[in-house]
Amino acid sequence: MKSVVILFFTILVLPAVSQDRLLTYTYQSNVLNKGQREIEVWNTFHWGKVDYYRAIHHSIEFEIGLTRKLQTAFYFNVNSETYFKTDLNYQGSTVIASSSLQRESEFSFSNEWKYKMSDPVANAVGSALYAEIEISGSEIELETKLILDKKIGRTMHVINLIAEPEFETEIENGKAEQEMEFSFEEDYGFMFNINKSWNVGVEVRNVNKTTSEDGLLYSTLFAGPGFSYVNGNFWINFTAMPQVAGLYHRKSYEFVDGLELNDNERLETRLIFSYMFQ
Amino acid sequence: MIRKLYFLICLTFICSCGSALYIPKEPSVIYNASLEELQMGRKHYVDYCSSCHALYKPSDLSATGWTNAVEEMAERSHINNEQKELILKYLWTASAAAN
Repeated sequence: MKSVVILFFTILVLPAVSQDRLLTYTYQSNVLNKGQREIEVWNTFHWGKVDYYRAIHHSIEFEIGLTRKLQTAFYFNVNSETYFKTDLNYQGSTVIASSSLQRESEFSFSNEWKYKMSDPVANAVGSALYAEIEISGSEIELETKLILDKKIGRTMHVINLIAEPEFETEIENGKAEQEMEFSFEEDYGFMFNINKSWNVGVEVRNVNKTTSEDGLLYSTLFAGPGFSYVNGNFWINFTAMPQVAGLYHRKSYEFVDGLELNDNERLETRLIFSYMFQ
Repeated sequence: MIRKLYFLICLTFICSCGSALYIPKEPSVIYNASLEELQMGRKHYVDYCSSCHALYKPSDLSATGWTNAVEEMAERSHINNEQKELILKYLWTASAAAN
């Protein structure tokens, strides 16, 4: 009887045994053990720009631990968006504007690498280096992150510093040309551990983009609540991330309700669920 | 405002820096473990257990509690019997030192 009681309290206190990812946008420093495999399904919903805009981004990710400190992952991504478009047709000296909803879909492939340098409990600060390359028909993106995290009591604090050069194909003067854009981002995530299954917290993102031609295009701040649920080999994370402030926009654009809605959405939500194989 | 927010976050990080995990400095007579075994047990605990969850402080459980927990998780974390024994010696010693 005594051992049953001890086992019961042990199970109550200890976390479930799945990859301990608590946040959806902000990455933690932990990596899978050598040989461990995990599959993750990502769903990100984007809503609202200056005009009608909706997009949904799906990713299927397969992660595998290569060594005790290194993991890699492969993603297959599908991005589908619908947006408001106005075309101007010239008939002699008359200009006729016609509006329509434009629909686009794109497929891409990503490969990520994460190297853990220190642990958020055993060391002063947990840290990891992260790199991901994404290739699609129209662009190539390289995303690099410095990940820092720290567990303090029942709370987890995570900071990501992100730099992302992007090479996009655009039509200029009737020719397809490569334009370089550069995004940099600072993310902060906080999670409070309620019990063995549930964590709640907030995530904050400061997103900035520059181009080689125009300099800084915009700077925005997203922030919102999230939760994480873990049960055995399964976990699910969700964050709702409204844009809370437009901090900067290029001269030709204006803020709408204090938000930058030319290149960014009013709201993003992300749901990730995952299963780890033994 | 934004700069102040990030300053506060960074300050939180800096103020909280320091290992929260017991570092063995002498052998354990009670659990018949040398200093090298305890150090190796700590290393295995950090390497193998932190991939599935943020590490828990040894003081969170009693020796019996740790035995049950490690037994339950040994297969999932892909550790062999020797590594399991070293982890347990470390956790028992650290738990006793804290309590």
